[in-house]
Amino acid sequence: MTRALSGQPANEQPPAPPVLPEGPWVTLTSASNTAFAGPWGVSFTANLTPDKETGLGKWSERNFIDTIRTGRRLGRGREILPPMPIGVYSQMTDNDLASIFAYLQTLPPISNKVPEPLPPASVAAH
Amino acid sequence: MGSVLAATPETVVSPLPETLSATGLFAPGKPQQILAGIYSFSPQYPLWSDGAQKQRWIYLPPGSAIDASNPDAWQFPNGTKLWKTFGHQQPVETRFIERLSDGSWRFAAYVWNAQQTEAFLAPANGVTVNAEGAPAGRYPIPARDDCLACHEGAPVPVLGFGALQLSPDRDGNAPHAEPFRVDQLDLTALVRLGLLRNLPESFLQKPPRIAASSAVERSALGYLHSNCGHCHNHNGPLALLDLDLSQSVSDSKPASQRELFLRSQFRLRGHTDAIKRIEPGQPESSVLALRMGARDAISQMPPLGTRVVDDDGLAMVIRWIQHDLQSRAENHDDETFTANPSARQPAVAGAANLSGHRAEQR
Repeated sequence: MTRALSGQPANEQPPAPPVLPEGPWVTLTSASNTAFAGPWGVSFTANLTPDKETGLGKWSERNFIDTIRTGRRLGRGREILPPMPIGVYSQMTDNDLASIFAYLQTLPPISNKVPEPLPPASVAAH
Repeated sequence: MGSVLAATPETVVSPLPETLSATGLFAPGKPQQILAGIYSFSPQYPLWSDGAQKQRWIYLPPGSAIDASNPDAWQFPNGTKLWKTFGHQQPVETRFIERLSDGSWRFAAYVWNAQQTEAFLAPANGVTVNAEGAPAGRYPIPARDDCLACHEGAPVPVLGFGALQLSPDRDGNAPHAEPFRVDQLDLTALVRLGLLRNLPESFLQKPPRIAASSAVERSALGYLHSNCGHCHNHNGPLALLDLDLSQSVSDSKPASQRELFLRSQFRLRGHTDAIKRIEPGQPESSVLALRMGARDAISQMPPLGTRVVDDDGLAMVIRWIQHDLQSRAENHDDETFTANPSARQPAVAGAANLSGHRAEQR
């Protein structure tokens, strides 16, 4: 747990997710619970520790609330990807979000540059 | 109880009008006749909106004026309204910004009917409509939160209406530059009409112009200002990124600002090593150009408001990186460009060239 909440390890590039047979199952989760594959592509858990270069160390409370409230990184960047239930979290009160942010800022900072998410195979192949 | 009722604030905001005519742009049924007291304008560096044609107007309450004491952050009087119509073969939507009596701003979009007689308030969550001439015949009307994503990142939520954008010294090489019409507002007209106060006199004697070492650099920086600078600046919520692509008219900064050449936090697909935001002479190894040339939800810049790469705008920025910045690096006339032989090699082994990258994104 020494690396808790520091996201998908930068030095572990997972192989491409296996292609699932047709059927109702559409998502996959890595054993580390930090990588998720589905129709949106592959997403990785973020580094939520207050590391200044690779985590939330430079974020303000407003940056965090904007992100969760809008479902866009920093309130204006790319969209937050599944499986994050952003539609649910976006309904939290400002007080709740501020409390969560305050807690995250108490974590020990861990330097870990999480990889960018990967687009769906159908996009990447074109 | 009566006194309690009497103390109710008068700043209760009326709901957004259901029709565009009710916002005061034109009389019902006469959309071609813009009402008196409303002025047309066109910024010298337009925002790319997937090739949409645009018309823009502003209204200021009678007797009021914009305060230009801070030339980079004009203060608009309460009651200010702005409209911007987007169209392809015909108008599709008109966006509306209004400053209310309490000083707050509100944003809305109106969708034109098939008869082109009226536009109606779009859903707050946005909607996609059919539009001939738009990419794939479809046109996304933004959600109101999406309006805020861009308009709340700048010092003032009015974009495209400021000292640089309305300078009479217009950049004829600006990508998608629109010809100036004499019935449109610029700095000179604003002052003459009494619509702009406290503008430093020097801005009339020497109209604002981006300080640049070449015409290409001027246009590239202007393009980045209008398409990126409202979010990427040092004043707004993204200040933590330390990337300022906005242009100031009161404090012009050189294009050699060091932060442009830092290593980016963004990683190319499948790579873990960092490359620079801009690598002089190497647009294919410059994150700024690569993300401008991408149109997938993860990589693209801008992240919203566009689904099609702006080939002209991207070509201007590539030219600037490829030639202008490269020659300055070679001449060592700027300490920003440290002499690094490896910088002449692609920063990422095997990185696709930019055109290949763009093809991949499509």
